[in-house]
Amino acid sequence: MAAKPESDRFDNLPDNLPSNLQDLTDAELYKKLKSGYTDALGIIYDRYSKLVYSLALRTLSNPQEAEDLTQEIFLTFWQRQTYDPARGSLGSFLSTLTRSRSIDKLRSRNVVTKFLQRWGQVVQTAPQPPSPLEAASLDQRSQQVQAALQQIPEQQRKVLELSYYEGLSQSEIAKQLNIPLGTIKTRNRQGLLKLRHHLQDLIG
Amino acid sequence: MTSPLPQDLEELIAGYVLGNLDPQEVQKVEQLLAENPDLIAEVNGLQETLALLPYGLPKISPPTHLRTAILSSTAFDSSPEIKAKIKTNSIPLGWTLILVGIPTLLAIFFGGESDRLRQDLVTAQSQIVQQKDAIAMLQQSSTSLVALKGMDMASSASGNMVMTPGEPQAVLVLRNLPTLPEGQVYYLWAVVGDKKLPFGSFKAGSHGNVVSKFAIPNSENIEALIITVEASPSATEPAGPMVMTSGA
Repeated sequence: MAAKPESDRFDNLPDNLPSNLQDLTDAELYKKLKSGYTDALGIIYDRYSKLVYSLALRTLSNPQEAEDLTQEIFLTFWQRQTYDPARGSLGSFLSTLTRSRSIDKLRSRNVVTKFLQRWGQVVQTAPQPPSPLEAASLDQRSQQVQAALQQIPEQQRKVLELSYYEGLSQSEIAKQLNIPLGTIKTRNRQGLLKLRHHLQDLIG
Repeated sequence: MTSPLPQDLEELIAGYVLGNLDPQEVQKVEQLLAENPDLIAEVNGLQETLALLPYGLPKISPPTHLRTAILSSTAFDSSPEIKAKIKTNSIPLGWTLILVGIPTLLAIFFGGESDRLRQDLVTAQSQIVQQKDAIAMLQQSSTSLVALKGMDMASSASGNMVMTPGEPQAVLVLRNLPTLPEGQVYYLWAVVGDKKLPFGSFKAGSHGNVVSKFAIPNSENIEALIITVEASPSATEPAGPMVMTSGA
């Protein structure tokens, strides 16, 4: 369902409500949401909540914070309505927004640490496994991305992931891996270019 | 799309998307983009690639109550078309029922009443959520309070900033703060050296009470908190009088 392509049906959407929102593309659902039909948000949530939550959890390493951020992302998406279907897929919009907010929160942790000069133990709860029905929705895209990542040299993948998920600067990565800055920059760029090459089908 | 670009230009654009270029290189790429709009597709394709990265993560479902909480939040700011739909929404359970569901049921019950009643319910719901945040933070043993004292026009005001390690947001709880005339807002700032970083604006409710949640500004050396009166809710530096301070 999540892999349903955006189509030119977006501009020709009939005004009457569809009998089944599940059948609409992301762009069609978004148009419904903008016109005040908030049930569309439920379908969008069903399609993308795992993507958003998994990314928030990977970056923040804290289920409660990931849950809060997921809520913030979907409510921001609904309230501000800044997504433009003509500029990219909804999944990419949501993952970019989630990544950006996650990194902001990671950085603000340092503020809290310094300000209070002590840390409490954060209570961790076990994440819930996905239901079979939920697991079906993003599988196609996930498999393609996982396969593409496997085709990238490990060194390049590692730099790409450190940069993306942990928000580390190139010089921070160079320091952490004890590798020259120039090498890190090259690995990051080549990793991204190779990933795009392997994901042409998804990007178009 | 297979890129026909020379390798060095391809890498330069990749670096641009990754944000790892030096200022001269950024300038060079932006000039190239201005001169050759076809390159913008290259940038977009790489940005889209980067945004696909999280699809490679093991997928984990958020807790099931989150969906209900999010959709309940949308029930209060919707068109007339949606107000009719509220009746068919599933009823939240547990705490969500108490905190969010009761206003929902009231909204259904008073469905034909005025917008003002609906607005009151929205305000009440918002206050309940904020108070829930404050209570949740206070219940954590590691929570700290930063006391704030009023001065001048707000000399009887007092309260605390509630902060919890690991929590990127903090809750401001104040009382006896005078209600401001239309067009003015209170503004909370973090003092860092000789700079003031904005938390955000807020208003005092009835009886001078405030419960507001703010994202903590991105700075590592906050020395004190101050509250000023500002004419703009999007102020970037304090221009109005200071009315409360943590005094730290």
